[in-house]
Amino acid sequence: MGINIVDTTLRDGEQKAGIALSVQDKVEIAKIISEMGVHQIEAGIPAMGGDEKISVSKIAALGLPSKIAAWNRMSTKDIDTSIECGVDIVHISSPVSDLQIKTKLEKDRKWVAENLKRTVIYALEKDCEVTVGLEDSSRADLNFLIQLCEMIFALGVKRVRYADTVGIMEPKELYSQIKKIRDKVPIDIEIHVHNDFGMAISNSFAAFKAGAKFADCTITGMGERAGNCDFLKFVKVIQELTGEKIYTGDFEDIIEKENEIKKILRLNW
Amino acid sequence: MAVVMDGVKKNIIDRTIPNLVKKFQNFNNDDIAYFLKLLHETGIDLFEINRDSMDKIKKFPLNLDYIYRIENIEDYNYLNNYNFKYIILNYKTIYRFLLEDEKIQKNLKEHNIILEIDIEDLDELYLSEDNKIFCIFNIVCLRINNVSKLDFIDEDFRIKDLKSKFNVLVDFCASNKYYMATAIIINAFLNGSDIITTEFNSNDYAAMEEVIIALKSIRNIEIRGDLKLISKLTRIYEKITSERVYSMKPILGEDIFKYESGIHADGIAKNPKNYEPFNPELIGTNRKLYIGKHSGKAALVVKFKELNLNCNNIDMNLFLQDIREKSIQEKRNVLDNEIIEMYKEYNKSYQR
Repeated sequence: MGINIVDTTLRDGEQKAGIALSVQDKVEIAKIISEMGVHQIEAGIPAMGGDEKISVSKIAALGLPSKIAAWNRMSTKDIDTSIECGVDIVHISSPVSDLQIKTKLEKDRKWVAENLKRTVIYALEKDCEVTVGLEDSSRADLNFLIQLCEMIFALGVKRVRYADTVGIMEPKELYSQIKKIRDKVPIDIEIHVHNDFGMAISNSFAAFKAGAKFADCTITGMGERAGNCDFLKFVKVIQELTGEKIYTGDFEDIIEKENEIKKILRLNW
Repeated sequence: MAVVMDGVKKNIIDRTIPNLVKKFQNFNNDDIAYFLKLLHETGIDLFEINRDSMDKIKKFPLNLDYIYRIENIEDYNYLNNYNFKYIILNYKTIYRFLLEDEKIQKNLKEHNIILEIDIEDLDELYLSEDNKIFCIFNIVCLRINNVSKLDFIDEDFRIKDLKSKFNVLVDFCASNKYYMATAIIINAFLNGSDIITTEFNSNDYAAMEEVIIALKSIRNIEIRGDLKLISKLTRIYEKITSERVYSMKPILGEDIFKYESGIHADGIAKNPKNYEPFNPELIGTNRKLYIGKHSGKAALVVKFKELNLNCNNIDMNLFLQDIREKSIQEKRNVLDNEIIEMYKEYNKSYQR
């Protein structure tokens, strides 16, 4: 397959203000999303505790064809909580732009590199499959990004997530950046974009053309602010422009499944 | 002049009206006039209309510049309704007008023509040896139409080449068939296009609001218009169409500046730029903090301050737990009045 879909409806999608899913809702949605043929489901953030942790555990226990991942900060406590849930993949995320490192974390680049290394090693030693998220990549220094990718790859991690956290990327520039990273580091890239200026699909497609093997999507594109890359629209564009079908069944089948999920989410759009 | 890049002024053509009249009926002239006025004040220079537009909207404001799209000979009869700045003729049908009577030909020749050509037909235009249409008509601009895909690799030499070969301005009009129209138009703008064509709240073309706010926020391009009017534009558009704009529509959607998740709330409190591509005040709106399942304690403290509630005597961890449970139970965020009620209950229990 040219590109694999990582569905993040149950994590980034649910972060859309005003969305609150119960354990049962999340389990049902996970089943439907898996039936659509996605490679991986990012089920949530177990470190939130309570119902969130219970839902990730239950989803992991379903034994779905899709791999189940949990989102973590650079925290061994977060990672332990995810491992307790029995997920397939532990995703460790860190801001990588100077803006977010300084004003959000109140740290510096050295601290980020050290703590990414520390927590990645911790998770790998627990026999976890690890992916690393580079938040705000699109506003980060590209050389710093590449250094981090080199470090992460050397530790044994096979995939990083390039996140256009505030949706400011343009496709040609993104294509160029992904190419440069891939030219320097043979690590798989997972593209994660936001739709703040209506460029989520074009950016995800550009990243794919540059060699990204994974693309994050959500059902209906729901997510923070103007949302994420819309799953149905993206797979349709991939099929029409490349001939590759990356979903299960007919397109009408996945429209129907999207509608089932919208009913659970109580969405009327 | 709407947009200035490197000291060069470029124009924006709006083609909202032809699509509006295709989809809806019964327009209030005052609403349309107000809508166009706001678009103009936001930065739109030229308004494209067609015969259908003039049939359904009886009177267009006279202080704006219009472009008339002529598709059939019958459309010609409306040519003198307004003092059109440009006429759009399509490459595939322009020769039809050469066969018409001399009066029509003469009249058309007196106008500035935008020749609209699909990108697939550009090679034919290049290869055509006599190109007599450039001799017969006063073609001042080539509109490259139906561009639906973005080339990620090549340098965009073609725009400059077109300008020098045909001695014309270039306008780009993208198709949103593959959801790439906004990216295509921004790219064309940055690579020499003199004019770009957009539509407000568009699904079919590049969305005007996405393009101009992206140019402003991402590229720091000067937009000569009052972008704070975008919120008012959305309201009048909703009134004209009797439909709400999609709640997550980039730039216009009512949900796009609502936030709830603990990590985002914390990041925004420290510096809104952490999680906002532009300040909501740029477009005349503001951000709104929601409290719900994904809220953290810090956000709850902020909300308490906002509602003039005292954190003392409240176990905020327990309160947050209750907030999350209520949010899941209601399948939405917890409303301000509900937070106040919960707070009162907590205080009653404490006093017992």
